[in-house]
Amino acid sequence: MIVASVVLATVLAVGAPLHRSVAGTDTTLSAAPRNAAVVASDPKAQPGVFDPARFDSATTVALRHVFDSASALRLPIAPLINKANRGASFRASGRKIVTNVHAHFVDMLAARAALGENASESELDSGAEAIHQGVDGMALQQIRTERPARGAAVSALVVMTDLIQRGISTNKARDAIVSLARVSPTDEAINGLQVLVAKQAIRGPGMAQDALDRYVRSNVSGAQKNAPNPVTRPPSPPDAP
Amino acid sequence: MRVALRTGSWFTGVSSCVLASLTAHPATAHAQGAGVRPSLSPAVPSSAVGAITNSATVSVMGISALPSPSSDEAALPAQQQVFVGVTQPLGRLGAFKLTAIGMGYVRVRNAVNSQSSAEGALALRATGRINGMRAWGAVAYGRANAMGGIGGASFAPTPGNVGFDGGRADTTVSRRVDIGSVARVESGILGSSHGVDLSLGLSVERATRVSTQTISIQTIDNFPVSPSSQGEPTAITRTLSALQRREVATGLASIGWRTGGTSWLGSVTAPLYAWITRDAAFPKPRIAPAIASLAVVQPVTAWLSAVGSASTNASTVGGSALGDEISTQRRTIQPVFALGVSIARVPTRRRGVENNLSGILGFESRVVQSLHSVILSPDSAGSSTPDTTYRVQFVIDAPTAGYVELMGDATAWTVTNMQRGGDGRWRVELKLGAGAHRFTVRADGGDWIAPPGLPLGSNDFGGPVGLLVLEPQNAKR
Repeated sequence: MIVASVVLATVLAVGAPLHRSVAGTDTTLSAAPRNAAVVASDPKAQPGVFDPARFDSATTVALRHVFDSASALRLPIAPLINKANRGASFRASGRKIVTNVHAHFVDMLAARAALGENASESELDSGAEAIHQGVDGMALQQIRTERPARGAAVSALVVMTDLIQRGISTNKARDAIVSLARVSPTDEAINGLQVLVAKQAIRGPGMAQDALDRYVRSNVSGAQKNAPNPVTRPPSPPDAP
Repeated sequence: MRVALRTGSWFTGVSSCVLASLTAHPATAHAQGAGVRPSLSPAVPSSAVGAITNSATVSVMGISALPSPSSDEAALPAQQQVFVGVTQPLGRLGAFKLTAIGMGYVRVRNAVNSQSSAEGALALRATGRINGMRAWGAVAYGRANAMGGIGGASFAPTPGNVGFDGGRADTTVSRRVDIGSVARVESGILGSSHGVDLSLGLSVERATRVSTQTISIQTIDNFPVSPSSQGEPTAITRTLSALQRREVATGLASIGWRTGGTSWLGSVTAPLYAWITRDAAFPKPRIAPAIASLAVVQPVTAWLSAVGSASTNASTVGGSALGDEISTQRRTIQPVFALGVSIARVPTRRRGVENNLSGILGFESRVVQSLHSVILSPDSAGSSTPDTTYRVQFVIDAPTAGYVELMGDATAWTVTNMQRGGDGRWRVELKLGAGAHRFTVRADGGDWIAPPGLPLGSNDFGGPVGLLVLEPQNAKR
């Protein structure tokens, strides 16, 4: 038997502010083989645009109602449309699609209440997913405190959801992300945690939990030991400019 | 002097899965005098659904059949079977992927005067997609032999055995060798609906067996059987051969589904028609057994991986992959553990049909393929604007896959085909703005998975998604 070559995820980040978020420690810099790349462009597929043809009439009416409600409350509807499209692609029933889209709408409202009116679309979307996984609004407020810039909290929210999905308890995931966000102004530590937990989660939730504990202990305590001025900033109101 | 010789003429050869059906099970018939009955057909638990993978696999599987509850002498005995198999992708021929399959099989029966048998088969399988439906076809050839002495009760010296010349005769079979071969052609289709995989197939095989028996006949009376014997006991050795040939068409139906990380595989095989074209033995064989099996396949935990990968392969187990799966774990070997039961309805000459229950235990190690890389680069058109768009290239390393698909927020959750590069990797390039983007990928119509390396998003609709986060260039913390 020929064993297939070991494959590792690699990331080529061209441009300074590009965020890793893909492969963590397996990063390799190399030139992108552009000649082999194909830009996917389906003229019929417009991201964020509602296509009623993908749903039955009753589902369409119910979804439009949710979208209208979101628009009336000045919530972005693209995440809701994406969710509906995802359900259609996975051939979920109309009832399930409407239920999930409506739940996401409610969670986005809660996320905006926690993250503030200035939160970006992705932050609301990611925050809603975190809330859906059982994270409370207080945790989102703490993350916003540590990541006040618009759009800067996305990674922390995404990784928190990822940790919970991999078997970490909600409280532990929340505490870990908030702690790491507090000790480091960048998301490197948070992304490192995601990579480590994802690797250990293969061996079971217990191993993932142990890895998380060790990682947080070493990063948070080490950072605090070396930090001349520990972060003592009081939490600011979520809607503070 | 009369030679009391009867030869069983049962063909056992209809198995319950694709890979097993590629295996030769020719004619391990056992001559047991008046108690002639078939040996059990191998009750391989897997289904066509599981065996259709084109990944490189090594598998070992054991099946233990319980004895028939009947106390009848002709009851089915307990037996143990061990399968070893390998699959290896060979490449592509047009739209079809070719895979070589090799398989060995040993059976030991727990019975007095038991016999063991060994078989081996090679197969070439092609898989492809016809009008949106996955299809496979295969040709296989196998050889088999039954080992051991015959030793049946009917061949023991009995006072009642009388030779042609009126004297009593002691007849023994000192050696018997069965050599069989099977040539098989099969094809089938495989489809998925609502998370359930269904497969239908048909196989036609020709099984041939040549039984060669060396028989020693010794007179035990004082009647000379030849002028030269001068009244001394005389031994005569004769070699008898019997040729049997049968064609049989077998239907295969399989179903597979998942509950969490566990796969369930069920299969039924049944002979549709049999033609006995050559049979030197008596009585004529009847039908082959129908077999139903159900197996649960569980990914092996990491601590068991070393054990599993050291000893495994089970195309016959069924496995967890319906196609060339892409790993979410960036591992090249993915062991699974299978446990199941099988029920065979075996035709017998004395008793009509007997049900025979078997337990199944198996390991499989499958080489899986994974996402190779996600390459990010800023889009030149938007690199100077605050809302930067990026050219993001997904690269999937799945050289044996027939096609790889991606969908996500960026494609409005419509399926986008990735393009195969010269290096065997699949690529697609997307223009994405800053923020979080969900994606999912699959190969050969298999299960959708979150691209390995990406954080997981919520799994609301039964399909895992990964999130790619692109931060705005002007992001400040």
